[in-house]
Amino acid sequence: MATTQTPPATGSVKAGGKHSGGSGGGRFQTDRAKAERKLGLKLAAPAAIVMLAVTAYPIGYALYLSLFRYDLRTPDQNAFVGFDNYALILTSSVWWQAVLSTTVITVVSVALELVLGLALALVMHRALSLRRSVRVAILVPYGIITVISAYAFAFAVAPDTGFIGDGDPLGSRLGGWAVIILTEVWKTTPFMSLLLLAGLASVDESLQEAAKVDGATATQRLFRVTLPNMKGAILVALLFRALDAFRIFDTVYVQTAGAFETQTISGLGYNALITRVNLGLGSAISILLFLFIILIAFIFVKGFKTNLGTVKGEG
Amino acid sequence: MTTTAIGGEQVGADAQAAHSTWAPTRRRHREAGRGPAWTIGALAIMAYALFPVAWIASLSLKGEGDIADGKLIPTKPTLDNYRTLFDSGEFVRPLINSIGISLITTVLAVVIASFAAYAIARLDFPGKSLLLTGALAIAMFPPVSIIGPLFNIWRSTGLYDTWPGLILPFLTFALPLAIWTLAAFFREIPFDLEQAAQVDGATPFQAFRKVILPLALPGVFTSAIIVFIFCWNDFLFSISLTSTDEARTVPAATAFFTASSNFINPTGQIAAAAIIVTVPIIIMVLVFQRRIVAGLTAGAVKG
Amino acid sequence: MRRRTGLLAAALMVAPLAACGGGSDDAGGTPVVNWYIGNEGWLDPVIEACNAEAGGAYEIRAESLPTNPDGQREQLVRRLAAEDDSIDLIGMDVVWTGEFAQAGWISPFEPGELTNVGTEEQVLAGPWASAQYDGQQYGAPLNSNTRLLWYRESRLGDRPVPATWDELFATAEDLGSTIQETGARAESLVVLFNALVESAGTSIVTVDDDGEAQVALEEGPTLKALEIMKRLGEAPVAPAGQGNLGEDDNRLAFQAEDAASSLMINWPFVYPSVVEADPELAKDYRAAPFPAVEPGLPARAALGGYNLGIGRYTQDREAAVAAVNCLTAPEQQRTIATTGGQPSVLRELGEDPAILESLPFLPIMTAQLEEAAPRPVTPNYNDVSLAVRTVLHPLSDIDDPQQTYDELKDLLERALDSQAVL
Repeated sequence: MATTQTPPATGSVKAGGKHSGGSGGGRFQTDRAKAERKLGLKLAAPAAIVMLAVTAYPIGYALYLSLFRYDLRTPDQNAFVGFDNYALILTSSVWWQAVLSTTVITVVSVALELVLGLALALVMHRALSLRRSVRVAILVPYGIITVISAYAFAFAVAPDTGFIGDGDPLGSRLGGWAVIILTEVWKTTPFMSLLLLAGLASVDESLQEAAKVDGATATQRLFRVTLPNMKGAILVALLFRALDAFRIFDTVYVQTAGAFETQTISGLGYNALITRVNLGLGSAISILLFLFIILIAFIFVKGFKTNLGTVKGEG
Repeated sequence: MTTTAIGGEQVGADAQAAHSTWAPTRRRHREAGRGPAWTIGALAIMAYALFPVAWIASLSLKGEGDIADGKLIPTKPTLDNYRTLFDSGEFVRPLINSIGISLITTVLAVVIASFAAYAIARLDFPGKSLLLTGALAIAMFPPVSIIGPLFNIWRSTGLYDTWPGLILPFLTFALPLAIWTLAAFFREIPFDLEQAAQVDGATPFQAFRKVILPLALPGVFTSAIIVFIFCWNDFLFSISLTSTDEARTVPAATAFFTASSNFINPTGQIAAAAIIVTVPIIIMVLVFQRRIVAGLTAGAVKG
Repeated sequence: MRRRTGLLAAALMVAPLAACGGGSDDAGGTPVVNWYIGNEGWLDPVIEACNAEAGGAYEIRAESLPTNPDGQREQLVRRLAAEDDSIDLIGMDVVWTGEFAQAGWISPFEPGELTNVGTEEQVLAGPWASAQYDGQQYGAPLNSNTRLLWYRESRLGDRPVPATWDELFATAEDLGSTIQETGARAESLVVLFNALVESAGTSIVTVDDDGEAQVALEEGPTLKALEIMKRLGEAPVAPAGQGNLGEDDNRLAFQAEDAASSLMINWPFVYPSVVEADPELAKDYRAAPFPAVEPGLPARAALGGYNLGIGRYTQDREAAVAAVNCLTAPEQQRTIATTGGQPSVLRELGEDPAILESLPFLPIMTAQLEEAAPRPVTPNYNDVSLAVRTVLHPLSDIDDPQQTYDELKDLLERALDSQAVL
């Protein structure tokens, strides 16, 4: 567990080796280890129980419901239907439109965020006189409620309350996507840039110097030295944002409500579950969304060899 | 007592320095950072970050007649929208709900996560990596996947449209955030003090409470800010698991604002509400910017 | 420490429960009737009048619902599915009757229970039909609404007032005017489609002798309706940004100083609005009946308004019914019509002088309401509505009515069985 920035002063020597349980010996050690185990479990239990109770159980229940016709409006017709709900969804063009829309929004916004986030991180890394102001400015989007930012952008581009006059970006599919993506990028680039900045800071400065001595241009240094050395941070930032973007709901709900075929998978699920109280069909959509999320995580972890541990601390 | 307090400050500062990526770069790039290109870049970023806020602030100050005038600076600024908002009775209760539910969740999440994070950072116990991975998985979990079952369970248990009915799911998604942030902070706390306390005869738990907890407070505070912002932001749970002002929070309430007549759009009120819930957060971000940055990137520098 | 924390947590969780508990509580022995209804300008005077008249027999309290009908329904459905016993009285949009009745969320009225709106003779035909489901009366018609063709008299000049859609399109082109008709992906789109389909001589859904709902949509008439919708979405009559236009957007566009449009289809709320905003301009407003699809066929305009339903889980049905009888009485209907611009459901008020004064176009509306086309009364109305919106929005995307027809029929058949992804 090497820290690139060694905590200065006290205690840093032992910070690495604690978890192994020390190297002392004898009965005292075993008793201590036992007590430690017991305390550890006790301390971790409440968090584990809450998290499991509100996710594992409901997702299991959703899986169960998804095998039924279960519609609160026609309670007398509820019955076991096997995989019928899944068949209905997978043969529906509306579903595939939503998959396409969700994918487009995810891919484009995460790609833009990577480029912008990197640029932001570089500016923050270098621009000294305004660093503080920049940091505050980019934390504003982070702090603002997603729904509010969605309204802000929707109002700003609307033909009546906006500043761009007669055009109506939210009046077509491409325009709708563009506004949704713009909002997402605005709202979440700060988070991305902070993760990337941390990665940037972890790149050994001596490599830069060495490249400079060898006559590399600034661009070459960026692409040949800096970026390859922060690959881990980039991949994790991408994974986090991709998973987050794929479950997008708030922005679309506020800005287009799914009109012009901009509906996302979460929006379809919400419509079925909450608007139509068709819990069977809606649960099947939920399960499919869940599978998509697992698939994305799997691709990153196996395909790109993203090591979550390296970035989130537990090496 | 005194030593602990001093130590606490010191360690807090150290932990911050360890996370803050500014300190080392400041020295290195002093020359490069003063160029006009970087300054222009920085100004562009600020404009980009603040423009939508400025637009909605401007809308909130426009009367019904000018709302469509397309100007950034209102010609006849008025507080009518704010007045309507507070008079309508559709905003105050959701605001109380938002504050109450977010605060309670924050306290619960930070307390529960502190236990777990301490155990993760300091103790050896089975299932530790499972807990960490599990928490990470939950952080990435799509909330839409559980709103259906929660709706069905909540409506039969009476949790539907109540504060606890929102606090529970908020807590679930806030815990991973708090655990990861806190565990990263806790790892930075030096051990000498704790071990010294244990040598002096304190149990591990006493060592935790008397020595580590005070040292950990800056990290706890940072996690609390991040968790609070997270809860404050929720929309999906609030819109799905409530149906009245009993528990509905502000983000969901804005979607249901009513205007003077059935078909009229409440744009002005939404803009005013947006400003009211945004200003405190912006102030918080301004005051605690260092901590927030440290918290968001906690642990991210390792590897 | 752990235990104490646990207790603290439990206390924190329970405290708000206690604080916000209580539904239909008593106000000093007077039974409270909680009335869930969208925010309307006439709500307060009507409730005050009835509470005064009740003299302690009951007290109506309004529980405000969101502005738009979709939002109102969503809120109610969740509460009703949760068997909330604080819902005594519901202001139901006319299209919810079937859904709420089938799900068992409202209970039917017994014959003779309703004094003002309990028989076919008392109520205009359109509103009456919207309150019936499965041979029983589930709704007490409270107010009605219908959409009219609005035009600016000074701009129309001596041209004849369009009576059919063909004439309307021709007039619009002649005037260089857009036709302000809603195009947003909302219930208003279904309102338009239903009115066109009914005017063309078919229905979206019919109920057979066994009470089974089926997609009707005869091909010929439906294609005519779709052709009109296609033309509405094309230049030069389609307004800019049509795909997001709602009722209020059209009202504002039509009311603007230099309005590009002299023709609009909208609910009558536009008239009180313009009288308030610009009385001079209001003098130029004229209304005509909703246009016919074909010269020989009667136009069957949209039907809107509220029916009152009694919540199934109410704890005091008697008080709720008493409240209904007061709210539907002629005095209250008159208040609603004069302050809200929404016509009464009562035949006896069809030409009422007091209402006529604030709604000069009342006779047109009354005539229309006798012929109006209720939207399908089916438990899956919401799915039907979403299916129509999914296929027909935006209007500018209707290229080939035949293809749109096939798509629509297919999706509607699944929607009617709540088996569609929407």
